[in-house]
Amino acid sequence: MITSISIIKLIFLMVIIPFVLGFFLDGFFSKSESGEISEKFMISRCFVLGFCAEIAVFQLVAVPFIVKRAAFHNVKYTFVIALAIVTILSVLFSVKGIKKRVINKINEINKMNTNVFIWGIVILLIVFETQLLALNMHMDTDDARFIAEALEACEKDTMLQLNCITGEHYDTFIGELRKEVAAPYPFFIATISSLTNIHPATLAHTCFPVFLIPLFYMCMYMLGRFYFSDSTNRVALYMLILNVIVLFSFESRFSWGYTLLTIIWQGRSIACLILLPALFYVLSNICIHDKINIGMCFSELVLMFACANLSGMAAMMAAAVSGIFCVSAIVRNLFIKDKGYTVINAILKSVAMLICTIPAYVYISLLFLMGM
Amino acid sequence: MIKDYIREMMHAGDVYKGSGMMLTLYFIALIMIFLYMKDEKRKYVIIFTALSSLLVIYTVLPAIQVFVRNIEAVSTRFFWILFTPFVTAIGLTIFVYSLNTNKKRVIVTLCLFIIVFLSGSFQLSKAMFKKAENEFRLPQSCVDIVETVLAERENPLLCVPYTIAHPFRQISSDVYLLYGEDATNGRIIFPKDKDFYTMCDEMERYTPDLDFIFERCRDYHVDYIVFDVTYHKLCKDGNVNVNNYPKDPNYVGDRTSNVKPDDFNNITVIEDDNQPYWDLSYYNLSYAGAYGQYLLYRFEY
Repeated sequence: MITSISIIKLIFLMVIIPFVLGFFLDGFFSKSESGEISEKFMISRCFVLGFCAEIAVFQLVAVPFIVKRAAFHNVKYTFVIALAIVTILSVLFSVKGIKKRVINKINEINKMNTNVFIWGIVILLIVFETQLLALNMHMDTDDARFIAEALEACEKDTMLQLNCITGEHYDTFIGELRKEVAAPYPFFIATISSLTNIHPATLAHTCFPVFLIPLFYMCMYMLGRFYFSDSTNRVALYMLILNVIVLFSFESRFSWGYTLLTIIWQGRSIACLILLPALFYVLSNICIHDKINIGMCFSELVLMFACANLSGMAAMMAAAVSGIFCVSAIVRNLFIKDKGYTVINAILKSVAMLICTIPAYVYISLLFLMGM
Repeated sequence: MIKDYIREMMHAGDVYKGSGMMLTLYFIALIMIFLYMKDEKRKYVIIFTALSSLLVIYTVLPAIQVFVRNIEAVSTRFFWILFTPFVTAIGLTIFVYSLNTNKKRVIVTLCLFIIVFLSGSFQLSKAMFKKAENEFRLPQSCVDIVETVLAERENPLLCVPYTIAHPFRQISSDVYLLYGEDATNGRIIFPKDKDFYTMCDEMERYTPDLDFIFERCRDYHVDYIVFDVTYHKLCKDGNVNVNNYPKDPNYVGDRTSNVKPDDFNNITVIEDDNQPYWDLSYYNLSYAGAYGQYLLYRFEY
């Protein structure tokens, strides 16, 4: 049963904490290409990176407990403590300059001259898509595993130890349950469910679409601002075209439209629609800057942990995307004549991106060690 | 092996792309970005990553599939690293803004929408999105069945048609199923035993072989069994689907039966105001209630 207390807790966990975490990470991107701090922040970027950071914290906490076959409540309480520590640190590291960033943002919004009509249609479409999934019912058979595992954690306090169908106890990880050892996203659902007292099925099917569909469009807005930073009208048109494409993108079960509008709560959907595009954004930023940016590389590291949490496939794809960007950083001067970008810069940048991909390789190795 | 590799390369995107029109739009958008994007660095990033991703998808993955191991489940999802809708939207926006008047931009934008309508597939319908029946967003009949069986006993074991097996363990982990999609064993029907496959098949037929099913249920101490009035026909007389519940439009299996209702002489229909049901007392099953289109029966041991 969803109560008002549950909703407040959910908003705290899915909105406020991600925003605080993201505000810190956003600081690394609030710089121009020449390295000057613009002292503003992007709300969408805060939410997207913050959500990724929250999942990354969970990944760091959960996997050791699962490998040790510990009880679920250990994961829950350790996650709460870890999240509290990380949130406090984010606040402490962000507090300097926060006033200036907020004032600059308000000034930016006041000066904004944009096409209200197009934005109105975009927002209406986002609301339509969100209510479509949140207020209606679409069933997917994969939930028989993901939600059942989350429910096992909530009700039995065990993780991957019971057969999803018969309840038989297993002493080792077997079958497809082994995937969740390295990618324990169902237990992220279980943790949020346990903390908010919302049933895992209700949380996944009813509540998560309300947060995740707008979060997807925030991620897309973030990317739009990367390409059309000088014009909010172009961003508006881009968002409208994207909305229309998504509504008609049902060509297969793997297309974005199907993934967003029917199964957004599943780990691989979040990876496909939010985390991998966010990773593309972070790596693009790293690539276009001449000098290496440690903060952005740290964001890449956070995203690697987050991708690994959602699914083994997401970790592999994150590693692949990172590999592609590593190569692109090295060969950039073959395509763009830029005297400010030296060979040393290229190599350092590639090495930094590669080092930040290590978490993905670690969890992929764990997946293979489990026999998948 | 080389022929297999070439075949894999040619068919790499078949599952993902559908008709291929959306992927075509993606390639057109890449061309627009190449021709019209002024920012060299951003253009480089998007074009280089797109081409590199395509190279990986159409050469590396087929090579792994043919020469190393089967990665069919993985390779289709790798199309996600193309970020096709996002790149398409960027490319089309750049093209629209390459036009010099607002009138042209509006006309071209509307034309692009029509092209997207015709290229894509719109499947938002009542078949895909049913009206929510509860906060779980699962069939209310399954929720009611779970509440009933849990009120009567601890850890009840159910035998249900396979097509509705998946909601039960999402509602409560205290309810167990005799068979279902087995995540512990490659997602095949659990268990691997031939009997369970046969039972699962029989429960999907218009007239299941009740002697076989009930005998196996008793062997495994099943507590409850569920029948579906939209297709099950356990006796030759009497239609129990008086409320005209619709059949599942998405079902693609074969419901042809190996037995006929005539083979079961001891089953009659009990008329009830709400929902007629079959009398299965001959088989020591008592009627436990109607839940939408599903009839729940209790095994009496």
